[in-house]
Amino acid sequence: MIGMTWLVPVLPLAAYIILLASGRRMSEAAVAGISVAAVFVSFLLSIGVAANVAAHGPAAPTVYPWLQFGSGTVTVGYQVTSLNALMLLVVSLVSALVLLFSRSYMRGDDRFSRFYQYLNLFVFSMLGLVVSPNLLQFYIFWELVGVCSYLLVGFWYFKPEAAAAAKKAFIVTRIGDVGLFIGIILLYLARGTFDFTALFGGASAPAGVMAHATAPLAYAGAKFFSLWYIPFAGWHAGAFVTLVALLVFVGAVGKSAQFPLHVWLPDAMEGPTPVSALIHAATMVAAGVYLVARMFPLFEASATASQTVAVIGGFTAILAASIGLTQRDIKRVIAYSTVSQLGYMMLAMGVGAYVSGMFHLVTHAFFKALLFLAAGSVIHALDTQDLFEMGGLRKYLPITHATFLAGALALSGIPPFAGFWSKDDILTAAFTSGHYVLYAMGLIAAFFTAAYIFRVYFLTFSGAYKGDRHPHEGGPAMTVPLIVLGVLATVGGFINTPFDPMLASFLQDQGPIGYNPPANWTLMAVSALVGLCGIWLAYTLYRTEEGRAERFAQRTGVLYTLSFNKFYVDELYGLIIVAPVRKIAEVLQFVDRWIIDGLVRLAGEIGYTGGVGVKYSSTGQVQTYGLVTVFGLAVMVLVVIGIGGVI
Amino acid sequence: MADVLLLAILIPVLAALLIMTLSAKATDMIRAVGLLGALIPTAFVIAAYVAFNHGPAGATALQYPFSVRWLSVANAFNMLTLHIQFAFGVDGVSMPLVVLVGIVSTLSCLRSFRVVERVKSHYVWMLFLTMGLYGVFAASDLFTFFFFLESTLVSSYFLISIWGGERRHFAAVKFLIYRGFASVVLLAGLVGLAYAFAVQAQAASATVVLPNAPNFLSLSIPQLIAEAKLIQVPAATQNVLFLVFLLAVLIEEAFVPFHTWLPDAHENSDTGTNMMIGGALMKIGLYVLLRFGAELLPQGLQHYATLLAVLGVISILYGAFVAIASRDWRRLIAFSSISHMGLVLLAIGSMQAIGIQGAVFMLVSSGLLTALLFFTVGAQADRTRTFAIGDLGGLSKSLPVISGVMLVAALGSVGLPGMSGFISEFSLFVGSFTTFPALSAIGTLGMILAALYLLYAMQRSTFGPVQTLVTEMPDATALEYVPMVVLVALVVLIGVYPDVLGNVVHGTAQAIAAGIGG
Repeated sequence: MIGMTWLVPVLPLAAYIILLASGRRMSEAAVAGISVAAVFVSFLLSIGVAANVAAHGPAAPTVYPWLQFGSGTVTVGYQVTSLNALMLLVVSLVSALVLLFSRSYMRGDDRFSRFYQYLNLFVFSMLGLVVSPNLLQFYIFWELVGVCSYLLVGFWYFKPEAAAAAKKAFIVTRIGDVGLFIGIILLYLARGTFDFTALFGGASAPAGVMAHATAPLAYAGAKFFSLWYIPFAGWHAGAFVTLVALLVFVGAVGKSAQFPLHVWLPDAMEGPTPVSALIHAATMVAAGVYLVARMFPLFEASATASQTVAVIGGFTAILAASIGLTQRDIKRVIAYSTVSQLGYMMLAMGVGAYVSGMFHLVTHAFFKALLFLAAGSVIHALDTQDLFEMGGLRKYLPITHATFLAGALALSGIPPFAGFWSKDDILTAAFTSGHYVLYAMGLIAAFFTAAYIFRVYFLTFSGAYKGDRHPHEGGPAMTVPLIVLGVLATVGGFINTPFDPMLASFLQDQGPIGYNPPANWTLMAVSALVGLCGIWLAYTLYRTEEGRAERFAQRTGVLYTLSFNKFYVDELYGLIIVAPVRKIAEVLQFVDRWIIDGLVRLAGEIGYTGGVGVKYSSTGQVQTYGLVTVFGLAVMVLVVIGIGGVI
Repeated sequence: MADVLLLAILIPVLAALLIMTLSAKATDMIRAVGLLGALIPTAFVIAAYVAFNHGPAGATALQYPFSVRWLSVANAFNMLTLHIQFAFGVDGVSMPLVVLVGIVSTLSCLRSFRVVERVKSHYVWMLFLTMGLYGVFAASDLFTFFFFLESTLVSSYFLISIWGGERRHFAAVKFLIYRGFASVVLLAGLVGLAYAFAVQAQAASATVVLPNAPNFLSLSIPQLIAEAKLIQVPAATQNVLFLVFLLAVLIEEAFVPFHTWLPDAHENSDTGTNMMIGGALMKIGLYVLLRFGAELLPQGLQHYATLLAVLGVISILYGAFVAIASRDWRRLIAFSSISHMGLVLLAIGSMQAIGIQGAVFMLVSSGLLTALLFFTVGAQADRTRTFAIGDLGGLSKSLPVISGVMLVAALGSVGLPGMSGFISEFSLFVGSFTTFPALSAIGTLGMILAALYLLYAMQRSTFGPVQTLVTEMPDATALEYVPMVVLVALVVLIGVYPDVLGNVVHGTAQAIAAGIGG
């Protein structure tokens, strides 16, 4: 079965090529049918691959030569470990459901086929990223998912906001990518390889083993530093590991929209909603967390780097959650929620809780894709994204309502829904590993989380409908994915409960990785209670008394303004980065035109008027012909003189 | 097969002569002959590329050699008889560039079907330029090299000054003065080089047995490279000569601050000419640096490596920043290409095999992508009649195909994996980080800025509401599909399977790096 892993990404690629070749000639049904079928078969194959890994353990990577590179050869291929297998399952399942959902959501769009092309290309790239056996191939697919995101955010290219958002997403993540780019190069220079397995252990280490194996890297790094001069001289070996780990993390920060590079994700909501569900919730943005997991030995080897990951994660979790409390646009609330939840995953990775982080990645993929698709169903029915123009939809959209509620409960961490088990795992890990401040931040963020998502829930589904349309469900292509994800959001957490930690034993089939927190019933009760408090807050503000929310907002004053304006981070960047770059560009353009080229033209002018006395334009082309001849003659003379030995 | 390079140089000339005999009114005939005159040599050089020996023996040997003695000068430099030859031959660095010339020239001749004024002389000059470019990259003799270099100067001068835009005379004269000056400097360098080698070879002949020890002086490049490994040109001489070459290269390749001729030339040239200049002509300077700087003056390169890296980084950042503020697509492409060539300079300065391999990759990749950018931008301007970025908008609506290919070209220039730019950039940065970690880190800013200026320009041109005066436009014609499909296919081929280029370049890059101690 593992020998067929290559088919998993190749099937969506094949679908992409078929759609690309057939252009607009294919019907919508055929386009969607081919795409869903291809990705669904990928999902079935992934099940087989995962079962194989569970039964027989990981296999050695399969690679083919790609490029002669320095004294070695770079390879491409695929590799399956328990971590990859898990990601394959999640990505292919959510992708298949989103592709099905889009059949209905994008119906009648001018570029329906183009939309499916991009989505297939994305699914291919994401699956290719997951199975990459080396960092270079990983980076290639990492960039490809980024460009798919760019194309899909800007899918409605005629909307100026969409065009701006697409560009912003690409450039902000590009900043992170350059960090990863440098990190990969430094790792290569130190170890002479891109292969994940060889980087940390050496070629003899079996695939999937993640032991404390960075010793050779630290050694190579120290040797390497000694070749450079300032500012690295005298650094001890660990500093190189820290530097590289932080550079890799910069890449993860960009992709996973962590502070301070989180600003692109909310804007990316300009893309069609299925795109938000697939790329900007379940898969691509989680790739940053996956990267940290894939490079886990590197982070384990550097306490500084791990601390940074944990602090950035915790801070992002609380920052984004507090912004989510006040946004008016349904998709933006969920987008900030995504940023915040990704922060939890980073927090987990940072405190060493490898399994907890991956567990939350999985449950989050289910319930966040669900929330986005449900929001998509609402937007599809109402044609607005403003929460204050909704209301009372429980009656009109019963399936959407029920599934959204399941997703909201999962996100809020209410037992027994999926998010409860995974988020609680992270908070327990933070607490029991002694990170009390981070634990407190996580807990407050959990309170905010429950409050903002139930604010959305109450504004959307309860009360009376404020618009004048006749909302209705979008048909089985929309409801089936919702129901499947709704079930997963409800029961998905049972793959890794304290009673039966199946996921933990699957991911650690080759020995323990990182920190596994012990079950702690008190902490569990606390976090469930905090979630309930958040729901209660949303209820009292939005369901008890008219206008209570507004009065509450006024009372919180400056805090409300800060939250509503996203803490002015975009404005700050505009001031300290965008404006200076523009200014430098304009100044240099001026210098180029009027100073550098000005001097050139001045010299030319003097030469002409002084030497020839006539402007070239006045005598037409004769002069310029002459110039050519003069050059030619000069050359010939020089050659002859040179050869003849005169000089 | 042995004479393939000679054929590649002769066929365009023969086609040009044939066109001269045709009536100026027979434009279709002229175009057909012009296209064939570029296409047939391309088929030859692609065949040569496929048959290129990339085994260990082929790595350093000159392949497809051809030489004929032209004249002899007795007692040259007061020494032996000097033989001046027309000699050709390629190695792993020049072979890909020769193919690049073939592809770019063929597609430019195809694009020039749209030229309606003075068609006859247009094709004559296009073919002469093609010949010159083949000659420059295929030459294996200093004199031959210089002869063809001068010919490119003349033909591109006429192409700019006759078929260009409003300020074409100004741009053409500027082009001529800059590059003419560069040629004179280069000539001084070449003569100095020949003299220095002759003196050393003479002095060493008593103690060292030179290979094929000729009883005459030769300007043959492989001969000089072989000698460079055995005789020691004094470091001081190498340094001076290297500086002379460097000055020529900086002007020729439009490095800051000698760059202002390039944006003017591009802004005032016809699209076909721009494809030739941006796609092939602008690769000569760095080729000179690799060939004469790195291979013949290794100590000079070592001595000035840091200077190269600094100049490279300056051009990377300067070009990128000015590109952000550019209001005309052609100027933007010109500054983008200045920025990309800065990367190559940085990589050559690194003196690493992988850096040099990346440098050659970048020359090929940026040649293809620059040609593609000029082609698509030109194709949209044929319809909207403007290159001004601010006057465009919403092109995706009326020109989905052209806009799509434009986006592919832009993303390729940004260095997106899956296309040729990425692996070029990655390889050359691996080289440069080895030698200059801090400077290279600054250089990576260029990667972010490239995304900024290209995507910002794309946002204003193809996205958003329709702004152009003309709203109903026909999308790409069948004839326009050809260059777009060919260039995209090549760019993707190199991106997906880089060894198609790597197995030709690799051996020679290793050999060059070995000579400079990398």
